[in-house]
Amino acid sequence: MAMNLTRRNFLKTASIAAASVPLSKVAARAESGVVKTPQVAPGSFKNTKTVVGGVCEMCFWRCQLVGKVRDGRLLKLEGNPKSIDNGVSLCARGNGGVAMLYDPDRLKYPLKNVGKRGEPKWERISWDEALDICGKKLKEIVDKHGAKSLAIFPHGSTARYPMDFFERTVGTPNVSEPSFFQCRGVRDMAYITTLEIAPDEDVDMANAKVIFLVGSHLGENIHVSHIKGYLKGLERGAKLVVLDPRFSAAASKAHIWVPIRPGTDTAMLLAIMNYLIENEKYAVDFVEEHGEGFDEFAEGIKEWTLERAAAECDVPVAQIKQVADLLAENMPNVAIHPGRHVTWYGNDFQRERALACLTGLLGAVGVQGGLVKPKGPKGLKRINWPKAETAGEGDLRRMQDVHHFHPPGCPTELIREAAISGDPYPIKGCVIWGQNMIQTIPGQDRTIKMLEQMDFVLCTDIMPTDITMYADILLPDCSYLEKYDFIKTGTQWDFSDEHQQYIAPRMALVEPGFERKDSIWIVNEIAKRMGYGDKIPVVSQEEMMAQSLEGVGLTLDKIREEGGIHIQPGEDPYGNNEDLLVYFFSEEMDDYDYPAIPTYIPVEPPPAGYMRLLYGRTPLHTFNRSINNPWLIHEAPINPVWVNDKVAVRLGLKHGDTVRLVNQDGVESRTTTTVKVTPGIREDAVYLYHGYGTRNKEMTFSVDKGVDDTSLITKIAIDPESGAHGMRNNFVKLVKVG
Amino acid sequence: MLQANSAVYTSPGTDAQKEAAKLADIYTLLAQLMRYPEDTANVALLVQAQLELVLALGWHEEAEMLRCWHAQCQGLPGDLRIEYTQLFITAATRCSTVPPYASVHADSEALLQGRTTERIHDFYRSCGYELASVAEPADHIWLQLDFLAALVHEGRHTEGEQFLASFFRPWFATFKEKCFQATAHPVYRVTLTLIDFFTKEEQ
Ligand code: SF4
Repeated sequence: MAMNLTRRNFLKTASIAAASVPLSKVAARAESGVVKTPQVAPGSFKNTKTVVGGVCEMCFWRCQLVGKVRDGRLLKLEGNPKSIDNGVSLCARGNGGVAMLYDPDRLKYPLKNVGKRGEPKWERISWDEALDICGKKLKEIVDKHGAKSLAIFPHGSTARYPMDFFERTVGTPNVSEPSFFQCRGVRDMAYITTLEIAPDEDVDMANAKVIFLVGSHLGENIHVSHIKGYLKGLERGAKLVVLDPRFSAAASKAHIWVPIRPGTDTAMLLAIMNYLIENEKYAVDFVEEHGEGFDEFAEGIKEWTLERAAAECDVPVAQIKQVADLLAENMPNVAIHPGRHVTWYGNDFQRERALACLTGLLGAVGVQGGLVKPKGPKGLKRINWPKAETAGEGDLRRMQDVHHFHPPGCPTELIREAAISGDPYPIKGCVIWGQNMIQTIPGQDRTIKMLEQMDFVLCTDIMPTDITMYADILLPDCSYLEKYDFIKTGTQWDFSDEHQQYIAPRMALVEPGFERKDSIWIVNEIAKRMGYGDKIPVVSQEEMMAQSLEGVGLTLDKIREEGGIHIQPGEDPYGNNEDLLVYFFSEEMDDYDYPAIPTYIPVEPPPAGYMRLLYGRTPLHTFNRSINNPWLIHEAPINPVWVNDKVAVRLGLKHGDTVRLVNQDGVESRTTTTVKVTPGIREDAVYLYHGYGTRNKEMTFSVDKGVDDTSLITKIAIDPESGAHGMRNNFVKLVKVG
Repeated sequence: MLQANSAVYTSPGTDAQKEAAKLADIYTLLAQLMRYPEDTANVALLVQAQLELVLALGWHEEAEMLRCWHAQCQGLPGDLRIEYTQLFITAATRCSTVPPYASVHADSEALLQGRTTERIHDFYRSCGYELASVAEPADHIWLQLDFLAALVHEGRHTEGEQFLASFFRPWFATFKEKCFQATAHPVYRVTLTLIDFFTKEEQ
């Protein structure tokens, strides 16, 4: 470079003449990014507006929002003051939505992988090119191997429309959602089998006399109106019982904290029920009226004395008795929490059955403080893709005649195994929509193996999560703040308040930036290219909303005028137990040769020198989904590993030491974390917040921060009834670094 | 739509006007080089103009780098597209995509659509400019360069200098340094060097 030349001198030189022709050619062709408009005095764009209609999806709870928007730019999120659910409150993650929206790492354009899966090299391509590739590749796979050769891994409200398209219209049975097979599906099926009720988290904690939590760490696990109910219950004097090997936030508020041996909760539940039955401290009339197979049940759990459970659970007899008596004294107004993420040991159906039976035994259904289904608004129209006659052909679960109490979709492990082995048929196309399978599904090597053998992998997401490194085509989705795709309904959270219902359709608070598109548009375009153009049910997300709302005589405009939420009179949710049956003994389960009464199935203890790896939520993240959020990662940058203080002394570890984790199979954590030395965890377990240890370098705020617990879950357990994964059967030791 | 063309160079006018027209075209070229190289025909023009400009400046080393690249890749837009994507959009296997937005480098929060974006957008408007229909934030480097081209073309040097001093230079140095750490690609290294040369403060 000529050092002494200045810009001004250069422009005066004659030498520029040589460049003038090409420069002017460029200028002549160029379309400027700015256009002349009337001059605007500074300050004219300073009117901050409140935009209504937001529905949060930093987690699945979907609190209602308003956005403070200035000049198209979202400045702040607040709870919608009209909300009878979360009200004006949002949790930290909800507030952090702004930083998600403007995270520079977010996906912005369609990308094509011109490198290798796992080691991608991306090229930005046009939507047309991306959609043409997706349509062509997916169609080729379906034409060659049939619809069943596609595997679909969806998550969240953005994925419902694509999931329905592939499952119903294209017809693949190989659809697996993490909410079912790595989270709550076991719970739902166990409760449906026992009480014919899908419980969600519908326990009336606000009006309970006892709140009973098994592993639920409310307070760290935050869903705003749920936590409101929990805190209101405590404020009103409810007693709190917490079974948890760790001194969780909930344990710190508990009247009785039971630091139970991990994996033995079912034994304790059986002993409590046996004690209640033997001492006639249960809801006798209720059981007589609603119970099915009670005698077989009572007989079958007789072996579970307090003493036996005490030895198994490493809990004093007196404490189990204390818990049982407390429940009996306060029945039926006891909130036996069904949990949410319950895929722990691969025997979880039985534990959830035990919880449902305990609920029935105490008569805690449909009464104040019990399991109470809210009565929300009815009439919204469900818009759906038409179902092909061949839909569902090649159902792996049916073919193998297993997991008869599975939640909707196909157990993930069956799909993965079939894809890797090619048996009973090839699975060659994969569509991943809003799910980071690297951190949702245990056995990362197997997931990668499955993807490596695919002919085509499509990922759609808002962030470049770890799984997106394995995509051939990566599409940028709109976030929940930029689209219309879900209608949240419900009731006021405290059933002792005036009964009301709400309908809150998600409305975009800001325009989508860059080239992001909503999933309805994307799927419709792919469908056209696959030859399903004539089956498209709606042309746009707005039309989808309009049609759904038509069923209740509402429009988006009307609801916007009403402040983003439509409120209407509600119904009393209590009572209505006439048709209720409690299957203490399930003939249906018996028919399929599963234990027909809740049964304790012991889990393997930690090998010498190892501790069980437990994981859970931090209030600042929804696992990997929010991990790259600049505001949230700033507040909770790593996931320290909780180690019992006595163990730490034995291992020579001090608070703050840096460690690597190594599991029973010799798998080492890729990254390190620090040690949190505490008496608040049992000696036989360690604990991590889940969702850390991102490996994709494009997640620049979170890459390599903390440890990815899923990477250490290499021993795979499968719940026989549901086919869901169990993820707490792995053990680790800590290796000090540096 | 703002356009400059060679007619300006030869048309009657003061030297200052002619120089302004040249500078406007140079800013336009640099803006175009900082856009995603979508249009294949345009890419050929851009890289040719870039080379001519570098030669006119007497930057032999840079010219050689560009010539080598032209010879190797024959100015293939595919190569540029992949490099642009890796450097400015998403680069999964390397640690440093450098988002070409001022707010990411100038604001403490390092987010898109930050306070800096808003201030830059306001400045455009106060000068009588608005974004054409683009879905990019107002502080993308190519929009800033296009805006500079427009101001210079109109001979609004004081506002141009004010923009450079208040909005452009405060983030560009960091941005350029990060890009230099992240890429060895001659087209982008030379483009950034050119931008630096044509935007830096002169006494
Ligand atoms: S609980 Fe928090 S993250 Fe979840 S929907 Fe509500 S505000 Fe959003």
